[in-house]
Amino acid sequence: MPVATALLLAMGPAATLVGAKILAEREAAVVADLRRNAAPQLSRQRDLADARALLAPVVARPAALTIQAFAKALPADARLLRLEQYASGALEAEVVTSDPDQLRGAIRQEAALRRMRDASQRQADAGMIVTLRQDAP
Amino acid sequence: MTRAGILAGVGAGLVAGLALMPATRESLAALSALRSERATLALAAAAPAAPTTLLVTGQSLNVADQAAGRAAIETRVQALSKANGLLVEKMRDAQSSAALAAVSLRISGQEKALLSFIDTLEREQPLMRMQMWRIEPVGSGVRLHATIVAAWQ
Repeated sequence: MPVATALLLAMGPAATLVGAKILAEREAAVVADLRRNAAPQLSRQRDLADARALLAPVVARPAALTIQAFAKALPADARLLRLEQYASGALEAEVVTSDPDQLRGAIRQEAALRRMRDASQRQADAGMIVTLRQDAP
Repeated sequence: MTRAGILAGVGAGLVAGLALMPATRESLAALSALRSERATLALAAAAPAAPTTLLVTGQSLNVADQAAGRAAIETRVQALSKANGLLVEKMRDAQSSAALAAVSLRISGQEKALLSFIDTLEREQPLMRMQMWRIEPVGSGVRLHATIVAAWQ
């Protein structure tokens, strides 16, 4: 009788232990399965997030608008040497002009180019070459 | 059935139960860890059902694969460069995110024609954009270097 009582009392924790082991085994199989199945979807999600990050800035700001804004803003004696948009979305322009201050004023007047900042300026045969830059949005 | 016998049984049972406790606790903890991992994975697996498309419907090229997407970009570039009298100096496939088709391009001609080319290229549906570009004067005209991207799915 003492033996039966002891067994009865010990059965509770023992059953919990065995039950948890069995359940954990099943759960591990399901997790392994999910991991296999979810892998392509997870990598697809990453691809889409990458693509969205790449597209978002250019969808909002077509190149034609930027170029037209420049064409409109440049004073008569200024000439574009280079207009470039980098992969990051940053914009850079190199303009040759005889009057850098007038150029800066004209650029500031143009709403679409208001974020362009002076980056550098150097002397060349044709006049001053001014580099303007706008950081990635 | 003596009282002492029952007490001895209860004592032994409690001792055995206590002895099993650390192991039991451990396996219960392992079980709960697996359960929460399963919940996380199930959530991740279920999530992409919603945002599978990159852009608003009609803006994606909606073609079978990335190569077909690049072909669509090249077709539009050829048609528009011809219409505007521009010279396509170089055009080749470019690397991009797996969800995008990309073509790198070098094209030159009269400034006005090039601007019209860019404007139309980006205005037509489905959506294409110059993702990276550079314009510079060359001779009496201008030259454009650009990477054109589009969502192909």
